[in-house]
Amino acid sequence: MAALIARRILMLFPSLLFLSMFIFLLMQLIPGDPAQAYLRLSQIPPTDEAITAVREELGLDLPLYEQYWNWLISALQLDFGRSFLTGERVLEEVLYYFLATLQLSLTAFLLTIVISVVIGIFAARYQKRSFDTFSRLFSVGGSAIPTFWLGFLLVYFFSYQLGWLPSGGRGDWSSLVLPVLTLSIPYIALFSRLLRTSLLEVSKAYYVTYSRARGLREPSIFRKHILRHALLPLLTVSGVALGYLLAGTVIVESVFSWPGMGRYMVTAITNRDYPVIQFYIVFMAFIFLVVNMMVDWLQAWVDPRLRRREGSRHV
Amino acid sequence: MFSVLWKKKALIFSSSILLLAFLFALFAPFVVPVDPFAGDTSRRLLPPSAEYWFGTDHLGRDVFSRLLYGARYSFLGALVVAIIAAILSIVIGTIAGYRGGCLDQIFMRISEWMLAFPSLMIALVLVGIFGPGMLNLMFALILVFWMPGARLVRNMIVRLKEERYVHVARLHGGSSFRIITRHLLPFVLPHVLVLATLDVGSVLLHIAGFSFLGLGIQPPLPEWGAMLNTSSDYFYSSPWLMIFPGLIIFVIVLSFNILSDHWREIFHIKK
Repeated sequence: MAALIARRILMLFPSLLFLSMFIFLLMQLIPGDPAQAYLRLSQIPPTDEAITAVREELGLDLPLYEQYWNWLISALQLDFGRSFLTGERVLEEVLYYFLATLQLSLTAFLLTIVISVVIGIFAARYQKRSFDTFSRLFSVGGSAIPTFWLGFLLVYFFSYQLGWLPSGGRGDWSSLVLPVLTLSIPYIALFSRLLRTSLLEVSKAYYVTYSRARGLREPSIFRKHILRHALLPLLTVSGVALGYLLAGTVIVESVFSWPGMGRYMVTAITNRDYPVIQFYIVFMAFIFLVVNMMVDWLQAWVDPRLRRREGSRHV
Repeated sequence: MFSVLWKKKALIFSSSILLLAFLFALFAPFVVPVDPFAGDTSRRLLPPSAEYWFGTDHLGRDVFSRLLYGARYSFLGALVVAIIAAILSIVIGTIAGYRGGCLDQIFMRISEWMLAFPSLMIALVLVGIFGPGMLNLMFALILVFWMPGARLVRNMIVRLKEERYVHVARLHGGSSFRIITRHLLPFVLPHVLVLATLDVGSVLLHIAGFSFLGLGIQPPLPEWGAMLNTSSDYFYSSPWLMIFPGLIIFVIVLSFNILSDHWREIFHIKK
């Protein structure tokens, strides 16, 4: 297990190296000139001399491989350049915004898991009864609702009409409620349904019938034999969900003026702030690779069958 | 019995909504009651009435007309993206699955990489690289949405091409082209249809979402998400500016999901 983990961590570096190279090449395809974007954002008139000077300063006059090499060397020293717009170091800015995003998505993640499990269990228990129908309608609706619309509706009712909660910004816990709800509702709709299906499938298994035949009491069968197995697929999906929640904040942050990564990236894209765009991509790729890796470990830890298969693949 | 009836009603309802949206999108310039681009400050922010069904916006433009006209961007845009993505996925998936070998390996590696990231994230990154705008957004979404379909097609082709009837067809001297079009694709296409129908809704949500962020279709074009973006300052005093564009996106996406479910049932495809 330890060797497996070490190998996976080592594998991260070539992946990131390859990815950063790919992104660097891709960035060359961008229509427009970074030097001009820089001058526009610094509010310097783009004369020919100014453009030449900036190209030299940013190293844009060097050949491509040399540009990448310089970028890589500074990146290894955790220097990812400065934002054209603010002139601040990109790494520090991103870390600040990332914390805000993390707070939002982790809260939403916990809420999604807890509520989905509760709804899923009740929907499976009272199959084809009114609660099940209600949860079905909820899941059908939740998968089709545009996130920004849901956010505005919640703000309209809970902050504007009722005045219970703030409509945006990042403050105390009350400012977290509406963005988290907006972010989680579509995923609760999806997950509660997944868990219900999984529960119903497991409860048809032979070992469940067998434990009934052994005369075990129904609550203990449910807890020990059905729920435990049914939660396994949810574990796999929840890793994916964490990724989706991290990405899904883009729109929610815009609706609620939440100072997070997504809004930062959107501003950078609108302003053609090249260093920010480039670092955002590398940073998110890193985060996702790490999240995916942790999901793999978690699965291997819970399900020994996977551990064996994984081990044999590398031998 | 009741549920069958309800299902049928839901299907009829959703198909007619989609058909209507399609017709409106095609003939929008001829059917809109008021010019969707003409502002008039004397009729700013009017609530819904007999004359202006869904009210007017902050520039005095008729929201109902703008929504009808917006079907050209949101609805047709999503349809075009999903169709191109489906065609790409059939072509690439078939080639990768049927030829196998090195091509297939490259395809599988790329698709595994892409699957590790959420579609919204990849689309955001691509829009970041190409720059904001309608065509760039559509291009980015095609690049995102062809992949799951191509994997589906590839996996089915890999499985089907070893079936006995395919070997027999080959012994009969059938060319690869004939085997693919006559013996393999007819089984694959219903699956692609189900997925693509579901994708139209998802693409529509992406187009509206990115336009809402200001990275997709730009105002004054009345794309539904962009409409929410431009009028966001007036939502609380004039909620109809928010309710109707969102509602129409919701209903259309829901209709596509229902239609996809229906096709899944017709073709007996498991989830």
